[in-house]
Order: sequence, then C-alpha cells, then structure tokens
Amino acid sequence: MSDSGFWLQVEAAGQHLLLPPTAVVEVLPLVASQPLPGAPRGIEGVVLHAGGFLPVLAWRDLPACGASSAPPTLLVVLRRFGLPVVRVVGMVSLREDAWEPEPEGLPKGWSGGRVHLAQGWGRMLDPERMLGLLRELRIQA
Amino acid sequence: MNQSFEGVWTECEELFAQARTALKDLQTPQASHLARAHLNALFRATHTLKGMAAMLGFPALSQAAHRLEDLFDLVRQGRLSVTETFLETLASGIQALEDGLEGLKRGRPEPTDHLQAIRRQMGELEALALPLEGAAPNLCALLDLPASAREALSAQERLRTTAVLLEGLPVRGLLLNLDLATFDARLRAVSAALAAQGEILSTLPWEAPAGTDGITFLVLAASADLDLEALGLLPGELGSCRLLAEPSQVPLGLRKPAALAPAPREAAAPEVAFLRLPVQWVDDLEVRLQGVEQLRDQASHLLGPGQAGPAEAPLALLADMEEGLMEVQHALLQMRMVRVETLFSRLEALAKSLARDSGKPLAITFRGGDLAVERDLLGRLAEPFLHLLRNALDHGLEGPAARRSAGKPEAGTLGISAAQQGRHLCFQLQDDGRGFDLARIAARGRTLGLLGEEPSSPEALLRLVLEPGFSTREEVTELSGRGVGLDVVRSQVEALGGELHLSSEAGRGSLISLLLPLHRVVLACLKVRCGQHTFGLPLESVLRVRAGRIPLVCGAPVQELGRVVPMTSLLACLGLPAPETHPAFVLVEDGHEGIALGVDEVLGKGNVLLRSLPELARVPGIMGGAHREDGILWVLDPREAMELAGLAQARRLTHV
Repeated sequence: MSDSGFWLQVEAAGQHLLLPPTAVVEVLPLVASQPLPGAPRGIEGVVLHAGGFLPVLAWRDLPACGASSAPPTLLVVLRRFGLPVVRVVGMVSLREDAWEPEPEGLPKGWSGGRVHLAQGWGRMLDPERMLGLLRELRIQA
Repeated sequence: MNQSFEGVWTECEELFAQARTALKDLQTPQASHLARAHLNALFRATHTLKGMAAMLGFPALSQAAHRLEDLFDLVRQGRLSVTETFLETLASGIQALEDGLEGLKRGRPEPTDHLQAIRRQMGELEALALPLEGAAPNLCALLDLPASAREALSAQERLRTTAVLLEGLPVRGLLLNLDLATFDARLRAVSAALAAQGEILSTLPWEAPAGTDGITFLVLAASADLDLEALGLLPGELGSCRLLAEPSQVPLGLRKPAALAPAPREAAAPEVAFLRLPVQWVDDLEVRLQGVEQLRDQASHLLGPGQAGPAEAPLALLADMEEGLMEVQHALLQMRMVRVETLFSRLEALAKSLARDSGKPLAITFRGGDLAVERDLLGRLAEPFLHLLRNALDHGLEGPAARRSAGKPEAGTLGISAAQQGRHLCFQLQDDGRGFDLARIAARGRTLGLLGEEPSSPEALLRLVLEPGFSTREEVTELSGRGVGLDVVRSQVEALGGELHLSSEAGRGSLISLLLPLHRVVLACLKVRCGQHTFGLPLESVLRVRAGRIPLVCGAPVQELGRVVPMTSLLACLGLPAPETHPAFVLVEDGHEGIALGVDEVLGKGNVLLRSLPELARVPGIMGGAHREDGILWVLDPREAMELAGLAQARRLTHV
C-alpha cells in the first residue's frame, strides 16, 4: 500500500490495473519472452533483463484476468517479474478512502482492492499478493 | 621479491586501504552499531594481515598485527572502550605495519624496534581492559525474557548484550512469524534491514503462537529507536515488538560515560566491489567502443540535415553498431569470468609456505580448476580459503611425529576441489588429519555455557565450532587460534548467500564444504535438440552419444559401456509431451547413476554462459539457461534429470 496516493495505471488482461510506483523498476518495449519448457503455471517465459532472467507473467493462467483488447506492447518490470501490458495510461492520484474491497465471490488472488476510475473499475495489483499466488499455483501443480 | 607473492602484496595493500577507511570512519562520532561494523572490518583486516605476514615469513609484523587483533577482540567483547588514546594507538599500529610491509617489499629488514614500541603501547591499552572473569558484569538478567531464553544466549551474545546496555542502548525483541517455505530468505531479508538500524544481538527460535503454522523467531536487537516500516515485513510476519531492557535499568555503579556520542541514524555505507583487470583488456574494450562511436558518427552524418542518401545506409550502420555492441557485451562478460585455477595457484603457494613454516610436510592436490566463475565471487573466496588453509595446517594436520605414530604417512594430504552441483558451486577442502575433537568441543561448549549436560549430536557440535569466538585452543597461535577463522569463513560464505558444512572423522580427517548459489558460470555443454527446444547437457556428465540406424524406442533398454539402462525421452523427463521414438540418445551419468536421454539431434559442444533461473521460473530438471542469438539454450541439471527420468519411466510402466 502506498502512502503517496499516486498509482501507475496500465491496461492489461482486459482491465485497468493500478500499480504502486515504488514497485515499478522500469517500463520497456515488450520483446517476445522465451518459452520455458515445463514453465510453472502463471509464467509465460523469461526475458533477459539486467544480465539475468526475468519471469514474464502469463495472464491467462491467473484468476480474474480476461483477454486483452489488443496485444501487449510494453513490459512493466517489477522487482521479481514482468507484466506484459497493452498501454500505460499514466499516473493517477487516488485518495485512500477511494479504495474498496473486492466484491464477495470474486477470486481475489493478486488484487489489493478496487477503485472507480473514469474508465470503469481499476484493480490494485499487489506485487506481494501476486508472488504468493504464483507460489501457490506452483504448489498446486 | 618472490613473483608468486605478487598477489599477496597487492592484497595487503588493499587490506591496509580498508583498514585506513574503517579507522577514519571510526574516528567520526557515530551510532554504536556503525562503530561496531567498522571495528569488525578492522578486526577482519588485521586478522588476514597477521596470517599473510606470518606466511611471508615476517614474524615481528605478524606479532604486531596479532596484538592489534587482540585489542579489537577486547572491544568487541565490551571489555575495552573506544577512546582517543585507543584510536591514536590504533592509527600508529596500522601505520607501523604498513611502513614495515612497504619496507619489506623494498627489501629492507623487519623493523623490529619500531614494532616493539607499538606493541608496548598496545599492551598498555590491553591492560586497561576489564578482566573476563568476575569483574565483567552480565546484564542479561535485565532482559524481560524467560530464564530459559536468557540461558540460550551464547557467551558472545551475553557479552554484546551487556556491552550495548552499558553503551546506553535499549534492547528490543521482535517476534517474527515466518512462512515455513520461505523463512530462511525472509529472515535474512528482515535481519539485513534490521542491521541497518542497529545491532542484532541474537536470533532465537521461539514457540509459535497458538493457531499459527509457520516458524517463529525472537530477534534481539540494540537500537535507540526502531522504524518497523523500514523492515519490509509482510502482513502477519510481525508478532510483536517490545522493549526487553533499557539503559536506565543498569545499576548506577556500572554505567560508564559514552565514549562516542551517537549520531542520528544513518545507513551503513555499502561495500564497494573492485574488479582488477589487465590494462590491455580495458584498452581492447575502448577500441571496440571507439569503433561503435565511429559508426554512430557516420549514422549521425547520414541522418543530418541536408543529407538525402539511400534509406538503407543508416539501417546497415545500425546493424554494424549492434554487432559492435554485442562484441562489447561479450568482452564485458569475459571480464567478469575467471577460472578457479587462478585461485588455486594462489592457494598452492600459500599452503606450501604455511606448511614450511609450521614444519608439517604437505601433499596438496587441486581438482576442478577449469571451472569458470564470476571474478567477483572468486575474489571474495580468497579470504575464506586463507582462513581454512590456516586452520587445516594449524588444527587439522598433525606434525610428522604424531602422524608416524598414528600409522599415517609423514606428509599430510590436503585436497581442494571445485565443482558445479546443479544450481550450486561446491568448494571442498579435505584433509587427512586428526579431525575435529568432538569431546573437546563439547567440553568447551559446556564451559562457555553453550551446551547443557545432555549429550549433543556430532552435527550440533560441529555447528558450535562456527560460533563467533569459539575455540578449543587454550593458546592463540600465529596461524589461527581463536576459532575466529571459521567464524569469519561462515559469515563470508553466508554473505555470498551460501552455506558452510563441516564433517569429520576422528583420526581420519575432516571435510569442509562451501556451497554457493550459482548465478553465472561458463559451462562446457553438449548441445542437443529435442522437439522445439535446444538443450545443453553439462559435458562432464556426458559419457557417450549414440545415434541409432533405426529409431530408438523410449522405455526400451540400451546397452552402452557395459551397462544396460532404459532410454527416456528428454522431453518426458521435463513432463512435456514426448514422441515414442528418438533417433539418438545421450548417456548421462551423475555419480554412479546413469540414464540414456532420447534426443532428436546432437548439435555439437561448446562453452556457454549459464545464468540461473529466478525462483519464480524454476523448472525441475533445468539448472539455467544460456542466451544465444537464436533463443535460449536450456541447460539440464543431470542429477535432477536422473530423478525425473526415473519418475517418467515409472509413469510409462504404470500408464499413469
């Protein structure tokens, strides 16, 4: 959770996602990730980044993720993984009380809550929750 | 000057530079945990200098360094305060050592008179230290903890707890509930964040609160104030944080004025890593870069105003620039990699010198020198190995007479090896000496209050040897002495993310293993294609490559090199859809086990730069990948592949 109230808004997995700016390392043009034979669920493949392999998320394996309206063009690099996104909408300032929990019955998984944006609902992508979810998917497999 | 010691002189110069920096930092008023970090740096530098001076055959310098080390040890134990006099004596001592070694390098004799004066000053300082027994107070009773927890603190931890309370710092207890699957990594991360704010005194396993299924630790830390948010704790990890003891509880008679006023909290300066390279390599790199710059200038000219050349010209230049940049990248990677042999050649010279000085004939062997690893990693292993060599010569190997009476050859043997084991680098040092004396370790452990009366397992006793300040030696020697060596080795190996393991057999010798995570390594591989993927098999595990005239059926036995093994598709090993037949197989061995891996094509062999896979992308059977122009070559972990092949075979037989 950010105290600053600023969030990076991106479009990915058929929805608007909000990322804490402190978690974002950089945004790069997307290069095709290299498929990893027997890759764990939730991981599309890897790209070479800063001299090492960076896992790239497979949205299709994750709960509450739809098909994108267009192919991803950018890679948002977080500390432990990369997110393929269609576009970066920009930075948005959000009041803390604007956030509300996900409605009951929806698989939460990676979301830290949702907020009403001009474009509709935006969901907070919590990197720590996402890490936990990816580990869970690995154990289930 | 002996050419083989060129590297040692250079290392001495670096150690003096480190010592000067640490001393300068120590002279600035600062928080006590930072002062302690600088003291530890000075302690390590002088400990290594002591060994090097002894090894080079300069006993007076070694003895002077030894005295300096004694002083640091007393301060670390809280028995001596850091005062102006202390700092002045320290500066004179380090300067005298540096002058002495510089003189020796120029062929002058050892400056014994000058060093004697310094040693006398240091002796006077030492006399001011509180005696260990009786007079040194133990303030651990002030800790608001159950008696069993206070008794679990080691002697060193009790001394430090007392020292920080005397210095005016409160002791806090953080109860951490960590996930079982990730507790080691999380504990390291939280400890690192905590160490930036204060001194960690102890980490005790703790009873998990009812209803939780993780693992719980109580971390004792000395810090004026604590910013919990800066610890990076995950939700649910912090059980509680409470004050266990504060300086106002210290009896008035025991309080002492602070020698150095604590400054506002500041982070410890990060360690600076150095890469030492032949100048020629840098020159070559510069030439390559100049080539790229020329291409850029040409492209700039072509694209400039008024230029209307053919559109393809700048594109061709871009391709040339890309090629040039790839060459630069390749050269930079080469600079980072170095063969283990370079470390081994240094160790051999040092070992022989130590053996000669200690009068213990030695037969030393090395294995795995061809392995190429990151230069930085190898550089950081030199010091741990120096300590291990000293320990082996001093404690491990017996003298010729003792060996003769034990029915052993006069010359002791020492084997040092490096090998890649899956995702790890494994360095081992094995001697045929007396082994660790478990009975003495147990007795010493009980004396120090680290062990109860109940018997301890050999593993637990060997772990005790790695505790700070633990030693079974009554007297400190020039070679090693306080058990400091193994403590330093452990902390250095752990700082690299690795583990240190000891094993021993009485009268037969000991084995010390350093297991380090593999980030990047150059590996000789056999390249094969299987399905849509290309794979690398570490060449050292490949016994035979065979292509059949008719397709080979998976599951059918193949006979090679006198053994009959079933053939399993490489794809099936990785849990991927696999064909029934393959045109070729590779016989792979790891230890005594062997398997035949079915593949579609053998592409040849070559060296690859292997990068490990991050945790999130780890796949059983694959140790990492090597980036190539046409994609990634996935390198198999032979040991894991062997296990997976067994499972695949079982699945095939049971049709599961």
